[in-house]
Amino acid sequence: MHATSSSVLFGLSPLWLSTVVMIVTYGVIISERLNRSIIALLGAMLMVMCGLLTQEQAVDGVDFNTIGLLVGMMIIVSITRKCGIFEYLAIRSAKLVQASPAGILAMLAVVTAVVSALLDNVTTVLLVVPVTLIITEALKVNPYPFLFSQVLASNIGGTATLIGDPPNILIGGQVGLSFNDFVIHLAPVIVVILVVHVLSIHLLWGRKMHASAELRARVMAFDETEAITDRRLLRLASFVLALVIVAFVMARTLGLDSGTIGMAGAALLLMLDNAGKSPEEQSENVVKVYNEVEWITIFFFVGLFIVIAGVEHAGLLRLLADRLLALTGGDFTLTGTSVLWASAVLSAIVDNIPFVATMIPLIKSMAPAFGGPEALLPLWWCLSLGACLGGNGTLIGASANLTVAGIAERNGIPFHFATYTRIAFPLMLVHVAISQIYLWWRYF
Amino acid sequence: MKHAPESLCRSIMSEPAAVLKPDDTIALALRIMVENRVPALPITAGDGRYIGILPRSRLIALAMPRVLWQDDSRHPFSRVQGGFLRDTLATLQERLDNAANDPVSRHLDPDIPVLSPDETLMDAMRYLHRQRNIVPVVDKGKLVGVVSVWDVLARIGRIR
Repeated sequence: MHATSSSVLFGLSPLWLSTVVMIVTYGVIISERLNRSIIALLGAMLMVMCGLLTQEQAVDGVDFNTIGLLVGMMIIVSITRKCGIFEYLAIRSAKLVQASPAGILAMLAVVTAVVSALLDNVTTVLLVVPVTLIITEALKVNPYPFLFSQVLASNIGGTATLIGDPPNILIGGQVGLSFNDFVIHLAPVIVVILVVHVLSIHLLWGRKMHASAELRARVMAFDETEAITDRRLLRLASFVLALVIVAFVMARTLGLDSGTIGMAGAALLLMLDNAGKSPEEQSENVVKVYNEVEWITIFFFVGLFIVIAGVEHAGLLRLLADRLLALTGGDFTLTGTSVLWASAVLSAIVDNIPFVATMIPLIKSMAPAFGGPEALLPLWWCLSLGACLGGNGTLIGASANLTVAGIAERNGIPFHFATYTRIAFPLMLVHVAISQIYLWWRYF
Repeated sequence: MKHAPESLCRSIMSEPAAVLKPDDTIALALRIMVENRVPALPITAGDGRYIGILPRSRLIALAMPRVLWQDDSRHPFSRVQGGFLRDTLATLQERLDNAANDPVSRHLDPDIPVLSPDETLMDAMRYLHRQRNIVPVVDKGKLVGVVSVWDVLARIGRIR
């Protein structure tokens, strides 16, 4: 509790004032009346102007490791996607199963999950869904099951790695967990959940899907090699992406943080992509790449970090952690189970980023009760699995869901909240239940 | 500043090759457009009220997979290049056939700018020098003519 009430506006209690600022900020974020990056920044500025944080404390509150990782990966992806590799992968996988609709349904779910483990979920669906629509149109099959399955697959796959989903980027960045930690602890259960997901989708839709040999021949005629638009860029981007992943895997040995690796990869790829071009071409290229960085997300994170720093300084998170511990009687398993299910249900309803960002310092402050920061490891997996998988529960649970719904609507495919939730919510509960069994078996 | 009458849209505009009604079919629009070699056709309600314009680019788009011509400015990532497509003539014809009986009102472009008769030649050129070939001239909600690139070039180039 660093802020003293004397420096706070009108001598108000910092605890109450910071709580009000946070609740109002989160309330407006949930109401979606104002762009989330604007409201997060306003909340952050209120924390400083009300005297709850000094500017220095506010800047300290921003986790530049997370921001660096996000911006770095966004730059790498915005350059890489131009070479057409993702269209190639989608077409290739469709042809591998002889363009059978049920096979493509399963294959594209797996491709989405794998790509999503390495790129962020929204980018993945933006790359895979349009190609899917071309394939389903050629096969004259209902595109809805494919899009539905890809939404879930993107959120499932994203859970497996540090860089796959924003909640993991947040947890990894703020707790100091490595790429390997995520893969070792989360990938096994994610593989099981993905298999269950693919089977569920097959039973629900895939087994009833058929396409005539003539229509399948249309897809088999697609020339995936023509999807690659820039072979030089493909080589460069694959090289840098591979290098970045190797660096993530060896991060501890190299002594590098994830933000440094992401930004270094971005800088290297920018250099390779622009070397030898005229200064005008370079400026044009670089401006295009920087424009594709999702600044809304970045400013949202910056604002949110400061809002949370405000409530943390005022002591609210410590208080909440104490209450949660009192509720669970200090029982580690019960605390973990509560974190998992509360994260899942809340993430299905509200944006999981503010939730996870708030939970991280809250869980951190439980360390003394459970025997130090090392002992908290299973709780981070509960938070990640709950928040990432919970996002599948409703159409508004994760950004990828809304992105796919938007593309679907523009292409005349109904993608509604109720029809989506009716099937997705029960499936999400099954996935979280699988996580629960895994967590009990492995950690509790 | 008052503009010379010969530089106003009122004096440059021409009669459109044809005017469509909202219920006319895509098949009819296609035939008129190809036979008259016009870049777009205006659509008006029964009372002459201007509704929109059907550009030839939309007819080309109807023969392509929809996702190729859906433009999402918020997500440039979702633009498919489509270099892998190997559609046959029969496939392209089939897509256009599927839309042949659609009313033109379903495919009109509502975002195309319109001119008023008292706007200037320069105003028309600001629209025509890039992607547009034809701009409707609308007076008090009613279509009164069109200004095409040919009308403008003929006036500036002194070609009758």
